[in-house]
Amino acid sequence: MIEKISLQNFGRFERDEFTTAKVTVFYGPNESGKTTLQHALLDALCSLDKRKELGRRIHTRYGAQRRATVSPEKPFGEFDAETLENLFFVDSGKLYLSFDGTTEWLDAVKSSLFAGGIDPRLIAEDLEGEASTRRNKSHMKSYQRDMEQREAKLLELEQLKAQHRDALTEQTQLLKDRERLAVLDDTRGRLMQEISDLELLLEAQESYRRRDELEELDHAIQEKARLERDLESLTHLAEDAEPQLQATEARILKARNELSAVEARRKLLQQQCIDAEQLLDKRHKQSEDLLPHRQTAAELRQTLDTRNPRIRTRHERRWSSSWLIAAGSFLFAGLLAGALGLLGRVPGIPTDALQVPAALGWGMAAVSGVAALALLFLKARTYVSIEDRSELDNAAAEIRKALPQELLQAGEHTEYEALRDRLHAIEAQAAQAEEAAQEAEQNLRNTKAALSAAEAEYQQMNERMIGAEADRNTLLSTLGVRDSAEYSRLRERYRAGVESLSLLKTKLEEAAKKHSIQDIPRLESYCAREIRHIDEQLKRERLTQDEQRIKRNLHDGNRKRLDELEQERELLMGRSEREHGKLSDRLTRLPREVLRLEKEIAGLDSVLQAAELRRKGAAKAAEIFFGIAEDTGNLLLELAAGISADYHHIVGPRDALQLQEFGLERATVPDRSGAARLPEQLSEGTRDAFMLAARLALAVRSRPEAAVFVLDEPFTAFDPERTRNALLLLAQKQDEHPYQYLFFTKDPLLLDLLKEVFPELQLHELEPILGEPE
Amino acid sequence: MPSFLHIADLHLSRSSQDYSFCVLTEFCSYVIEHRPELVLIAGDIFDEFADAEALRVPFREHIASLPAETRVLAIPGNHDILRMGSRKLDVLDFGIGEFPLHHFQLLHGADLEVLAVPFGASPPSPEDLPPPADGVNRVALVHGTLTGLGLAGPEQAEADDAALDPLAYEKLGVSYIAAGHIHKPFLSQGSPCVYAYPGSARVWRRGEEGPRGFYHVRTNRPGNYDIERVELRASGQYRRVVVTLNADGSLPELHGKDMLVEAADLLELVLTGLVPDDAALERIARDLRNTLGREVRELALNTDDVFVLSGAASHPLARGFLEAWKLRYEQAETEQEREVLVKARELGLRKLKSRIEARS
Repeated sequence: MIEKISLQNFGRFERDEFTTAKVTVFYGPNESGKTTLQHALLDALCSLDKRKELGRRIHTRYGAQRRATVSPEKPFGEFDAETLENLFFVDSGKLYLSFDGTTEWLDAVKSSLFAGGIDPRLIAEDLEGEASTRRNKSHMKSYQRDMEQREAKLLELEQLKAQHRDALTEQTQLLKDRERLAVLDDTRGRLMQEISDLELLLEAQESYRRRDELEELDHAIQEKARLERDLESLTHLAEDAEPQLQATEARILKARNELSAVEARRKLLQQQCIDAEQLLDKRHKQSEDLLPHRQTAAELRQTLDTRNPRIRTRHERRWSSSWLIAAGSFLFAGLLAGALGLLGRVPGIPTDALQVPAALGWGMAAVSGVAALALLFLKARTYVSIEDRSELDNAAAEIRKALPQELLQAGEHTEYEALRDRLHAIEAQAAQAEEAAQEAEQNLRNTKAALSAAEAEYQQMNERMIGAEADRNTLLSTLGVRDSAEYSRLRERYRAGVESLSLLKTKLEEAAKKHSIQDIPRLESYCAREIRHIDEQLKRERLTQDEQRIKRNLHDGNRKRLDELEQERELLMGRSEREHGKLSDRLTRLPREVLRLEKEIAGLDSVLQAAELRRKGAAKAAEIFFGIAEDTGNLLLELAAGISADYHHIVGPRDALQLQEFGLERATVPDRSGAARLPEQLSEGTRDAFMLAARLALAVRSRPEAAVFVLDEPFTAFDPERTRNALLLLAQKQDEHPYQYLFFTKDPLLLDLLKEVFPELQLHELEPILGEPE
Repeated sequence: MPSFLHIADLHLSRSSQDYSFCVLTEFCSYVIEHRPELVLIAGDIFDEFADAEALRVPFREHIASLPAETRVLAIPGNHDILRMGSRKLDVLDFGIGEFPLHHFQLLHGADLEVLAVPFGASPPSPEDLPPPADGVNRVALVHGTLTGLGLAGPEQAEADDAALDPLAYEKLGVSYIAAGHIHKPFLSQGSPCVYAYPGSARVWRRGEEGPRGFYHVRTNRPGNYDIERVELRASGQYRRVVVTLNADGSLPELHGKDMLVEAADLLELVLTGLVPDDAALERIARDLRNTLGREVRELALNTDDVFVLSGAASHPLARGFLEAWKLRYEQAETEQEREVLVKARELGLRKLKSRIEARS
């Protein structure tokens, strides 16, 4: 409680002191210093901030020399000037508190009532912000970033693990490569051994071939020697007796041929003789056969020539058939015509029509008849010549009777001539036969002569031949051969031998040149040596051509395999070298990187967990603060109740007022009629009553411990009853709280009431100072 | 058929000598009791090279206490050679039967082959290594991170050397990869190869939740492994407890099943809430260190989510918020809901703090 207020140089108060009690009244007219005293009180109780409006105002108005103190010094502790001025200074003019808008002091008052000066809702909202998972929040942004980083690192980890697995697979592969290389080396060794073996085998075949060649040469040499020996024995055949021998042989042959020819001729002639003889016989016979007939024929012929039979001709009249027919025809025609003429006489047929035809018919009939008769008499009988061959036939018959049929062979019609000719022929024939017989005889004689000539020749030839044979035999024995065949053979052998020998020699000389050997004897020893040499060296068996072919294929096959093998080996070795070093690096490096990443991820995990815990904690704390704020809301209701009570105290029983929000902005106050009204809608007196109640309620809750109220004409709008009620309310408050009241008034009525309600008040009467501006 | 133990990441260190050697002792007791044919230690035996030098003798004594018929096979891990400089492990004798240091080695047992690859060495390539004989199991002993299994965590600062390729080992005929380096136990019994991380044998740092242990592997037939996980008690556990300060910035009562701790545990308390000032926070920390801190092997206080706000207790909104929050937290049913609510509290308080401070 303030006990004393002292002022120096404060406005009109140069040096003044006022004692104060629980209730102090400053009674005086206008301009008696009431306002100054209030300012002094503010100045003394609060530390006025010169920067703020109030402080500036007071400083400007009263100057730096002013001094205002209270005793004791800070009776209420720290008192905020604005709170003091606005809440605890109850001034009718300023009784109305606008709860709308935000005034700092009012906010401070409101929140200090319930939360020690801090609005829990604000803290709760702050914490809610920190608990929020909305993306635009900075802590969520960094949370998101960390999450993304974690995801990225997890991905990276997976990739690294995959790389590591790959590296391990590669390592296994490299090991397999190594094993394979070992196998390949093994195979390679084996293959090379086999190839070498085969090559040796094939080389051996070459040696065999060479040996064969040399052996051939050797044989050739042996052959040469043999031939030479052989030929030696035949040297006597060197000189060629062949032509001689051939000549004799030719002679023999010629003689023989001639002999044969003669022989043949002889035989032929013999045969011819025989034939001629036969012919002669035959011809003789023929001639003899014909002889009698020849005579007959001659006689006949003479006879007939004399007689001279010939053909006789006679003429006869004969009917000619052709003219007969013609006549017949005319007759017939005439008959027909007659018929036609008769037609006219038949009953029933019109005679007119038939007049002409009938006439015609009669005419024709007449004509035809005449013609027929003419022909008949004139032409029908003609003269015909007839041959008479009877003479001839008789002659013919005579001949035939005289001579055999076979000689005659005559035809039918001209038999006689033919027969006559035949007579000539028979004569001729007989003459011919005779001639022929004579000819045959001559022929026989010739042939016989020829035959004997041939016989003579034959003898000659034979002798010649024998001579030639004898020559030959002599020659043969000279040559020492049995026969010329043998000589031929020998000769052939010699010749062949010479030929072979010369071939051999050529061959051997060539071979000698090839082997750079001077002569053939040396060649022989060379061959022998070489063959021995080869025989010593030969360690492999001999193969046939087919076997060689197989072995060569095998060799080629092996070579190919070896090449492939080498390729694979090179590939593997290259790979192994290339990869091994890098792989070791990777296998060392990758686990380390994996570990590093795992650590980073673990780090991020703990950061994320901490952030989440933080958010949850913030949410929980916000919850608690919201709870507190809500409780504050409850307290608000309590406030409303309190204000209501005070209000009712002043204005009498009414409905309770309603406080909608913590801030009194929407406080609704019931007026006398009971309608709920906003404060500004109330009548001045009612409003002032509410405001007073509100102020008191706020003030009481704001500083439940000691405070001071400065009331400057507070109840101008009140009627006396309300004024009394208000004063009684204030007195009641003073019973509950150690409040100090300082009244400033000029109203005597109020003074009386004050004296009535507060019997122990301290009164100061103030005098106005003329001429002093307030 | 042989059985073998597979353990890794002991991280024996001078700074936790008693603790780490307690674990080793428990392990050795198990070996003595069960007498497996083989013990495989998959690297990171020591926390750094200097520890290897300094603790060589006690380690050797432990190994010497094992039965003679049990062969011990180990490989160095990245920690064993940490800050080695120019010195060498070669000159130090750890009493381990087979301890290849630079190159892979194939070690033959009865029906078991072990392909041991020290950290930093490369495994053989398939052509250099014949496949295992019929009926013989081939086990790989390696140290690093098997890739492709999502084992890498952001908190590990790996050298590249740590990357192990499981597929490469499969190609080498390996049917069980006995790995070390990852401190969280992992077992994948796929075919053809088992991937196994026993996890760190002792709690090495915050975050290694769950009991510590190793694998006891019995092979009944080739390629078939019967794997039993054996827990180590002496190593305790890492436990993480979230403690929400009261509305007035005071420490609530710590009790209930959340607070079942053991002497060997590494306990991380995560404090969240408002305190009126730094001094209050200091007081709370001091209290905790004096109480809980004495019950466990190590207490780690995490105060990242504690806000200093003067007048916090009296601020009506702050109070209102914390009270409303508390109601919801008590109704939460799942771990997830609680985690979200804790976060909500932090964020709400942050906002309040910034607004309150802006006002004044």
